[in-house]
Amino acid sequence: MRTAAFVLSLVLVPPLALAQEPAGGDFSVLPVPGAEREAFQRILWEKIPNPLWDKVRSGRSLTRQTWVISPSLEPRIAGLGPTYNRPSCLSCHPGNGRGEAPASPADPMRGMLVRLSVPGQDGHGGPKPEPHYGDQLNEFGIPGVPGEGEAFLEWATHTERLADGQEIELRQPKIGFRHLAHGPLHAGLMTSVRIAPPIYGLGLLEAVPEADILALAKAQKAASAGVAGQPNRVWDAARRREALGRFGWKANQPTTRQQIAGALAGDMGITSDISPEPNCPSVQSACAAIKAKANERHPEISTADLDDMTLYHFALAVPDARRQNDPQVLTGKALFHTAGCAVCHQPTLKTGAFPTLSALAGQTIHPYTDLLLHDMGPGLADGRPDYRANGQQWRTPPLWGIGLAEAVNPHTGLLHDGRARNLLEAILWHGGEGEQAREAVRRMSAGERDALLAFLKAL
Amino acid sequence: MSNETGHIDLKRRRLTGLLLAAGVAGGFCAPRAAFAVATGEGEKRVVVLTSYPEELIARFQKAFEQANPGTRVEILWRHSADALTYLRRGGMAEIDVYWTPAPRNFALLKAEGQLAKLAPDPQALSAIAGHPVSDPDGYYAAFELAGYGIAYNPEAVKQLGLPPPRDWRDLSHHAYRGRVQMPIPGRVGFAPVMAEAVLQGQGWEEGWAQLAAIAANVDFGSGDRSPDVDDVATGRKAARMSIDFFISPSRRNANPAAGELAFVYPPRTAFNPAHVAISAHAPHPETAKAFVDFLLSTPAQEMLLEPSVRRLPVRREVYAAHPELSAQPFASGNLAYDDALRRDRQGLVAALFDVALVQPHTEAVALWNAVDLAWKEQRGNDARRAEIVALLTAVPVDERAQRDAGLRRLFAFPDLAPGQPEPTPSAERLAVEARWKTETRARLDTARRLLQAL
Repeated sequence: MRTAAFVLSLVLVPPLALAQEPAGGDFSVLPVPGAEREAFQRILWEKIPNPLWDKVRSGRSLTRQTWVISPSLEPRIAGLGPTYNRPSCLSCHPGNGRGEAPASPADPMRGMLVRLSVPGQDGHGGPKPEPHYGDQLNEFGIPGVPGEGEAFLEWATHTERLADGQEIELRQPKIGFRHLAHGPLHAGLMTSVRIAPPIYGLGLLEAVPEADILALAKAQKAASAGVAGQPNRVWDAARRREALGRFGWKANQPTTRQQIAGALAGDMGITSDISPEPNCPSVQSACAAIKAKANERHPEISTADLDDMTLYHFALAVPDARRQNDPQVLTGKALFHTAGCAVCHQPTLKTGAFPTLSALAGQTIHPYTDLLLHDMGPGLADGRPDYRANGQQWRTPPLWGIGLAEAVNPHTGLLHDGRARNLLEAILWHGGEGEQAREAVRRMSAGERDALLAFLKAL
Repeated sequence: MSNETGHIDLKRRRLTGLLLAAGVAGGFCAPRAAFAVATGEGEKRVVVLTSYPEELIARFQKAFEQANPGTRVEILWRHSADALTYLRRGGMAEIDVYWTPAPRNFALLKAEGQLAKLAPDPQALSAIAGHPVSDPDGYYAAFELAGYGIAYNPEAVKQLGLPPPRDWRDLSHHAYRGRVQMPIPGRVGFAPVMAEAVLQGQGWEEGWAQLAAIAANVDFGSGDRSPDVDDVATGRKAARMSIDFFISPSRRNANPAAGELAFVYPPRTAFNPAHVAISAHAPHPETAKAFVDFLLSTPAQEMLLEPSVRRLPVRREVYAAHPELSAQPFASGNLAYDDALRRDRQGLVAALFDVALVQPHTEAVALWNAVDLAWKEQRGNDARRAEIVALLTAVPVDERAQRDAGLRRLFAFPDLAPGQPEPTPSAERLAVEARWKTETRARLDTARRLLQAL
């Protein structure tokens, strides 16, 4: 009943009547002028119970840590590899923000990864890994273990014309591989290239009751307006059961903790209680030899340390919206709603109980996501299913803080593969369920588009 | 890492000669582009061992790779003690460049013949107060400097009724009681240099006296056992002895009412160099040289000033181009900080700090409070007060005794192998520590009696 009333309120409340509440409820913070580049790293210590301070510090230290190859004098931070992409969380999430797509085929992937799979499913309904390379290409190997190979991007461009005649160049990546160490890739290979997303606000999103998210899907379907978000159902390794997917570009992770464990395993080769086995496909003999060494310690990150990393992610404050009384921003906000953007990019959600960090409970938040999968059309498709997400579906990414993206990271790459170089390009890539909103934006006057973009940059 | 036969295999296995070939798109009905498999002709590589934070590494890695298309910088990461163990177990043949703030390691590796001679730009070789920051023989070169000073919360300091601190001794004001953090040398990596900044800047006995007086305002809690500045940023603490690069805008408090962080370099403080060197057994010596030349170049030195990096350059001309910098390590009158001296006695200093300042801390603070009360109530004269303070700030090892090579050796930090536990302290060391404790206890007892007699 509560959920139904909540969803109804989202549909009925006129956009401009929405209160100017902090983006992350009590877990919001305005960026310090002149220090916007640090906006995604802020912790509201006064909201964290004192007994948890050392754990948050520990989690921050581990998140910032560059990991070490075993054996080491420091076993707590050892376990990088045998194969890996990058040695630190911050390698791909600089400033806790977004990774960057390489600008040319000569450039290495330093802030993104390539998921690999072949037709079929794994034992839990997830993607079936490529038999020789696993579910993610790892460029590097520790000494004695070859890196799996290097992926690169070639960019193809085309021009879109807006209704007022303005031309916008869009670029689309084509993936290539070189230095493959274990022979050709599977003939049925499916790939998905993904930049790392920002990491703040995850606790608040995890605290949104599942029933509320499912109710949003139901409401969208009932509205029959061409938008019908679909929840992903994924494997929750800790609870040993299927669960709602909330995190990742295809909502393929159920919890922040599992998302972190997945990144530790996939990107850095660090085992945990959720991913206890090193990623060594049988054909990779040197990798397997490392795996078999009796003195290797698994899991390489302790349960307590993984908990601390998770708590640190929960403790990160959400950057609050700025310039909310600016007339242009207000106009843009109205256009955001009338164009239909807010159907998927839900401005308001409410959190439920959250025992891990009770300060996150009962918050009204403005993440601009429904956490649901939407068909975004063939232009954005990766053609690679991920649990119940098909090759054209992507989770609605949260927009809170998106206006600070350029201040935090020295690039403006948006969308799952970083192809969009600014907000307007990102909008123009919307297809499928996003097509109506995209066309509404295409029809806008230059002034209206500027207002819309001003609103987004104020988030 | 060496394998069991000692064979080193650094090169990534490459399948060159594969045809550029279209793969199979597969999957959903997307018009996804087919993938290609390409050869990697001309790829070069440099393997770098470092302990720098990721923000710094990534900035220089990207800049070098962009300036040298096709070259890849491969990063291995270890803290200094771990790195030395690794390098002495065959790692020197697995890396090209060692790039890190660990002066002892560079000195040891040079002495062991593990470093190749550099030919750096002479303009990059600076000296602070006549003390060279790079190896005079050219086996390792300074890359950047870490400056030591005081981080403080201006609002919190103001609330204490004090002016902003300018020198170490300012932190000994009784109004700071319980509001200062002082990293413990045996617990925080940068703390030994921090302590030496005071000891070398003020002299051994005056330096210890200042450290002891500041310690009266510290609680030696978790904040003194970590490098974090959160407690100062939040205003829970008013000031902290710190390295400059820890004070970033991100450490400012989310609550504007709590103020922001500021940092000041005391007049005589340490600017400690970090270095870069090429392995004598580098698998990729040409790219190694190119990487080192890049790090020491003026453009790279300018990058040290970027907000995400926040380090002090070693090229003097960068300071001339940036008069706004508060740090002026090459200015006349600065301390000729001697890191070799720090390394030689850091075990001794850490042990003394623990025995003289940390262990009797609760009792010492009570006596300092009693001194303050007596002074406030105008009990006793200046001479008696000075006598009591001298007892509270005395160090069990005097200037002459601390020079003893045997004593320093007795407390030297051992080099450990992975999995090897800390060795049990020798009986001789335990006996010396017991003597220090007895002497410290006697001084505190005397101070208490004098206070009670006021």
